Amino acid sequence: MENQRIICCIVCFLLTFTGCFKDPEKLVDDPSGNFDALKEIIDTRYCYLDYKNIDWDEICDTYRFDAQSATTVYELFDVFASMLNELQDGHVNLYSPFNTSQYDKWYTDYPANFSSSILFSDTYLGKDYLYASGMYYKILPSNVGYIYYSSFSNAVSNTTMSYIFDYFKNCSGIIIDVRNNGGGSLSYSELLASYFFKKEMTTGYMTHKVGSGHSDFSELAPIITKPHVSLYWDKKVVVLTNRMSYSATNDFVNRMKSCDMATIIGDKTGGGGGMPLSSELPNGWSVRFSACPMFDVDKQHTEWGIDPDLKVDMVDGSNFDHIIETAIRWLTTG
Amino acid sequence: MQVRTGGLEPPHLSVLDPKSSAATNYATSAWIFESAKVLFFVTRKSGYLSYHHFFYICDMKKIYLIIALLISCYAGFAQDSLRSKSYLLNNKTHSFTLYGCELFDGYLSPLYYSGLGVQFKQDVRRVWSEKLSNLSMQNSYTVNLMLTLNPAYTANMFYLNFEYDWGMYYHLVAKKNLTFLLGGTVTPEIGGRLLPRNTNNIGNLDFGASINVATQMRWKIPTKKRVLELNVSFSMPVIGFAFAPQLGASYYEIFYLKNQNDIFHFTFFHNKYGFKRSYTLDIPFKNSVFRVGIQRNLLKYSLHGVFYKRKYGGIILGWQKNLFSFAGRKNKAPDRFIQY
Repeated sequence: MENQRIICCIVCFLLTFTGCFKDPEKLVDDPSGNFDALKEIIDTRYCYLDYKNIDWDEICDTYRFDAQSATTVYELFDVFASMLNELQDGHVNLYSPFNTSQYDKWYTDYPANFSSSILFSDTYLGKDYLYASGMYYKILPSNVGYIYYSSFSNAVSNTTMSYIFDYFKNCSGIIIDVRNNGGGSLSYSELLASYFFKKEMTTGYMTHKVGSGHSDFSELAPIITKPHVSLYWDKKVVVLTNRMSYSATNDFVNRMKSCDMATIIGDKTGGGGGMPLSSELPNGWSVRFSACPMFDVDKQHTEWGIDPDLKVDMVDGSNFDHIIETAIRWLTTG
Repeated sequence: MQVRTGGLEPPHLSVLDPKSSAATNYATSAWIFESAKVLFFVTRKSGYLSYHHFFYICDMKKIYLIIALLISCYAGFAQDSLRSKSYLLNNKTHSFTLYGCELFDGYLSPLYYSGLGVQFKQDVRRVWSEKLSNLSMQNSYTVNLMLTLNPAYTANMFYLNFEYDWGMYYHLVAKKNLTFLLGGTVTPEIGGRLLPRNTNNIGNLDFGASINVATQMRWKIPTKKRVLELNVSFSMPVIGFAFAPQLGASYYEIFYLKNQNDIFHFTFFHNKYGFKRSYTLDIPFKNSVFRVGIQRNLLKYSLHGVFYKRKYGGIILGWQKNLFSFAGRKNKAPDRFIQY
């Protein structure tokens, strides 16, 4: 009898808590369902709606009819791409099996300030450059070390950097050219910057959304750049930028802004201060969006780019790269 | 027992030969044991022997032998008392489950992923001690691997998880063949989900621990040839903790910038609910016990408003053994066991 009572008690206890949870609803894969999912993702997770004064509800109202009346996936994709381009963000993309949307006005509306044909002419890299870890490098005739780094997706290697610094040891300074570098890994930008820091410094801040409200952010977390444990470049360094210096490159430039020995020369960077995360729509398309805003050392957004210390534009029709020439003068005469 | 009519000694005396076993120590004790059996046979069954046979056996040499046997028999009984020591056997079950599964990870995607998974589990149970035989303990290790797709079949989510259970049960005998086990388990687990096409949130850690209530019903079903055992087990998490990043946070911020505020959460019924349920049938064959069954597991929790779910159910196949393990300095194997 007592046993039965114990068993009954246990069964009742277990049944008490059954089903006290509600699962999220399964999203519907039709134009309306996909539209609502996209609206929700941006509304609750995109981090720059307030900063950019974007009325997302109004944008959605504008595009809703077009989305719901789309008869093909191509039409639907174009509507969604147009909606997302209203965010004016290079980190916002829509990926489908047949197309990828991207916002490119962050660099197409500005001077290129970069010419690979001039860069690889005999005046600069020529044909006798060295190449390792995604870095093209050479000692220029003015005894200045020059590195062209085209992507932070290429791994920065301590070993390679030790060889490069040794190769440049008699130079008066080095130029790190990150023009047309669209970004990559933040850990590589941190590592590359660490070779030029003598002491640990707070070089920026990062935050993230903690709720669905447009201004629900966590407290700022400091971005600290530590000196590298074994490698240190103690001479002058110039970082060359243009509007296509974006995302992780923007972060690198932001760190180098705080470096005593570094000068930023060229055009304003393209920005991309929001670390992107991904989500997806019921039809399987992937959405990438800025989720975690980053700030400079003065707690200002870096989404719209970072101003150089010395603004220089290339001159049309010239066979010289005026940004590199300015950097060489800076290093040899300063 | 047969005795030759032309008779010398009964033929089974040949088992006294110590060379018949590979292990000397064990052979000695076997020899003593068998000698005692002979002595017992002689004294008890002498009525079957003729007077002539009796005196044949009892010539002087044999008398010495019998005295020696009496002495060694005492030693044999003394050694045999070691054999009476109770050993607590480990009931070890290895099982393999193939199942259909559903995953939801709100941090990675707002969609339900579904697919197939496999589970390998080693479950070891034994009685707590000789005196506390109505208490038992459980150690189990579980590995789960799931391969899932989103509803549109455009992305894969992988899930790998390691789980350890330590549990304790009280055995409540309801009827002759029916026993209920009531207890609890402690379950730490670590794993991760991977959605490779995402940017920066390509994966999410699954890390936490919980204290669970657990029950089991064991019903022995005698049939003509064998005794089957039906096991129904159920457990559910009650209290614990879990790791979960906020929806907008990146792992870069958590691990590189070490902004680790608010990543561990207390869990209770208000934010975590689940159960593990299985129905298995143990079928003893000639040299082994096989297990077949089904299981259904569900775990869902909501932390920071981010919902997670993992549901799977499938068919269990397993095999079971009862083992005793000798290890270490204190728990050495007796001499009659041959070491590797």
